[in-house]
Amino acid sequence: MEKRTKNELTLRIAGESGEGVITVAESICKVAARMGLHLATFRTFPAEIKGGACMMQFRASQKPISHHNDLADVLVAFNEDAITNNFADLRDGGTLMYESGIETPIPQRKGVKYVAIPFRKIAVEIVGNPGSKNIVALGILSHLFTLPQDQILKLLEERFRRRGQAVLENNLKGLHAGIEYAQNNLSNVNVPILEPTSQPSKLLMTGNEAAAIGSLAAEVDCYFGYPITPSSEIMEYLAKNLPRVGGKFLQTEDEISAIAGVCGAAWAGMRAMTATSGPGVSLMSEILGLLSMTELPAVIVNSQRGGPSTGLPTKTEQSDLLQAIYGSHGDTPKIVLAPTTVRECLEIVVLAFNLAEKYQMPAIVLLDQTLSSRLETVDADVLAGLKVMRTLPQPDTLAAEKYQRFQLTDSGVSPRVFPGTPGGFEYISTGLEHNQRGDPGYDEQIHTIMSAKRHKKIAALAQDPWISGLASTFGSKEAEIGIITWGSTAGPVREAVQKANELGIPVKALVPKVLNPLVNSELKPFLSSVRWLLVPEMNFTGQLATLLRSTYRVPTARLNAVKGVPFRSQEILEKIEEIAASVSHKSAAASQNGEGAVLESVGSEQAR
Amino acid sequence: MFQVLFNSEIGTSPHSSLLSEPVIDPGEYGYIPTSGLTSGHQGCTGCGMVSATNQVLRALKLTGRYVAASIGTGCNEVITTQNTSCWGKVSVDHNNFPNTASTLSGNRAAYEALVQAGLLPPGSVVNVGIAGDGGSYDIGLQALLAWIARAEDGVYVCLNNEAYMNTGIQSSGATPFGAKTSTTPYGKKANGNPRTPQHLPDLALAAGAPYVAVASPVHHRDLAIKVQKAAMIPGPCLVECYSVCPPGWNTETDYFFEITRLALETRLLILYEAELHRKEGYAIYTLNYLPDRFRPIEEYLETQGRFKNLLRNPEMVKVVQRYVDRRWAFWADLLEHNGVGEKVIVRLDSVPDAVGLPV
Repeated sequence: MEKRTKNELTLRIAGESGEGVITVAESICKVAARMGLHLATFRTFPAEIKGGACMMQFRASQKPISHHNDLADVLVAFNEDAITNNFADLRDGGTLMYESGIETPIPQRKGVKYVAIPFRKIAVEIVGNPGSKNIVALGILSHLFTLPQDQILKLLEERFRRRGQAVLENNLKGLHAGIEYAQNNLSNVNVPILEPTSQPSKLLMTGNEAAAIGSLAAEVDCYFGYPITPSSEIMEYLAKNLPRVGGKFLQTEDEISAIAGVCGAAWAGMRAMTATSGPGVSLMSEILGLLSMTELPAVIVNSQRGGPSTGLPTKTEQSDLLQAIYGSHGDTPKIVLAPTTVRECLEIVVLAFNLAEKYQMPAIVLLDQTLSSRLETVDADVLAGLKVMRTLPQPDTLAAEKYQRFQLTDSGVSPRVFPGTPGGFEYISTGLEHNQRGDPGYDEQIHTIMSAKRHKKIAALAQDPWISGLASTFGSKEAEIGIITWGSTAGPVREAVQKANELGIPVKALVPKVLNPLVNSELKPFLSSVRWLLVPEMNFTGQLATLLRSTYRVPTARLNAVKGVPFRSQEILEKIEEIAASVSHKSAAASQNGEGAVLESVGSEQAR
Repeated sequence: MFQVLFNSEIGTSPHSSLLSEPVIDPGEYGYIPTSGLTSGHQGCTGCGMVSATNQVLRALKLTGRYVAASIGTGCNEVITTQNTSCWGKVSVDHNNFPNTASTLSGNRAAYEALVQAGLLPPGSVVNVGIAGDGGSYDIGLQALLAWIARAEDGVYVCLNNEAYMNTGIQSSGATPFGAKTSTTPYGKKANGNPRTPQHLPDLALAAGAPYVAVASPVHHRDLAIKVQKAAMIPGPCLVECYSVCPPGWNTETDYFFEITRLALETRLLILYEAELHRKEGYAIYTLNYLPDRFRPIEEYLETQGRFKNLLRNPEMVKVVQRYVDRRWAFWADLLEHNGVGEKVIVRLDSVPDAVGLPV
């Protein structure tokens, strides 16, 4: 038998929602994470409440990975639709394992290995319940991937113990039936194997869970929220866990009340947050402006989905960037941050709390549906490295009789005093334009001065040491083609850059995590060093590209997709190749004509 | 606030004090010769809302008017908009979550403008707003009460399945006390939903709706008559439909009828209608269904997984029983007014002829 690949596997399992597809994939993921492997996953949700096509793909690797991979090594299909929908995503030379009871013809492709398995029949004959076919599949796959049996057993026990001994025993029966079938019939199937590594066990969590844990780590006091896909998980996690640590969880009647609750709690000195999706942020817009005006800290997590309006509730998109930055009427400075991995979801939420409190303004954290719902391994040391920094009021240093809540300072940040602080620090917090004391005033001077004061803070933030070194750069240093992207698209971009460099096309990439303000000290050196820029993002108009073009003079190629699914690294690689080809063509033409570069140089960007 | 009068008849009647003519009575078996929600919807097996929508549309068509529906985001919208053909010859305006009633208002204003311009005959369209409990009790409440306050003509149907089901079972203003949802979990410091539910028909009546009713898709004739009355009575009328939700309530899919029956016999669900003569300052309450015997609340709670934890805590069960008893006091007055004697509470297992309910 030929040699089997070790610890490098992309598996996709597809079937009907409710068939236990996710259970199988998650179980293998959990075992792999305990073995110390790195994991990245991707799953789709049907729009229906129950039923509908569903699939989960995961990639396990010995090395750190940033993407769930374009094509699967192994595809497990429980029904016809699962094959039709996913066959194109199986790589050449991959293995298709399908339910042998499927009656329609199986699509044929050269190089694909076909394995028909009677999942349903085994489940009916041995367990007596067709619903157990997912556990049979788990048994078969765990044998084929040589997963440690004790780990699988432990997992099933954890999962089913609470549902009674009979349920557990039935599932164990299904598992053993699967293992036995694989031993007897599938000994010649060559699929990658997964083995324990020397690395410590990893945590496995979704982006939403990470964001919720991040908020707990950041000592959040109050959470206000309203259910909306795909952010509801954050709310559900905090409903369960925030009261345990002495926090207050409140479900409001809509998003307007949620953000208004956050506003009230922030005024009273609490660390407060809410999580929602695009439609929710649209409703919250007015009060986001109030938070900017009254200079109160708040954290808003926006798990983006396809828009506008109700849009694609269960699909991914990155089309709320400009809404996050410019949303709400008037000039409303806000901090906008975008994590790129599950680990960063946790870290960036903590940072958002720190920055919002320090600069006294709302901070929006942009997740998207893929990032929110994908399971990923996170090193167990993640919590140890977190820095929770409180910027608490120091009334001792202030003279109450001269206290001005909106005092003009060099940084624009004014002394904050919590309501009820003894010594006569009372002030009125109002959405009307106000003077330094907080008294309403509309004369031309006040509005000019106070607008400048509020924007001074955002300029100061761009220089803050707390955000230095946050952007990630990768690729070949000398490259003249640069990529700037944000959010979860960083995963496929990292993959594409690596492939391009392997193919001999020098490319490098910059992924800023702070999107408002644009951090000149990150962007300028990068943009000066490249001649051509590509901005891939999952929206129709190219929102980050528009933003960059409004600030820097950069010849920018945009790569936009609104398909509801994340980019494949191949799509980005093809665009890189296209640019590289046109660049070499143009350079050749330029050298023939002796006119220098045809494209405008990137080095001449204007400072903000 | 207004004087409460009791109807001296118990049961459903096609007559209304606000209508000169009776509405069409579909008879004992509730047969209606019109089509409602047809195949193609993607509701779960055993969904009460699908049946309710079907019957609401059929009843509206009985009025002979063209049905224009404004539907809010929610389960009903999700399951009927994947294959829109299931709506048949109904025009549907799917709007956002908070604004079912406001959109209904816009639809109606446009229709009235067309009538004024002589382009459509008066009385040719019925405008109906259909939304869930999340879209009515929580986020859409402001729009709903303001629509009632404006006294515009239309029907608002609230399909109440007592939580946000399509986003993953989060609690709403209609979630019962002690129910487990994903935002009202059980644990060391939490005992499910700590609040008792609001009651939308009460709110609507207080806001000035001329006609409010509670219906159930199990009682076809009652529902058909109520929806027709809501359509014919001028002004903003509200019908709330009790909608069993197997995934959200954690029940078997084929006990739709039994669960509804138990809800009625435990008196948690009360089928009634109220007609408000706003200018005269009085409201007439009619009790539409009086069960033969009353049952203790546990028997309803036991049918649903969402109350599993609640049932482990006898004190909490007592709270629910007290809530039900006290709320019934109002209807006990009505029974006394009608000369019906006090009923006794009988346990299911103590009744020889009762069909045992699988739990």
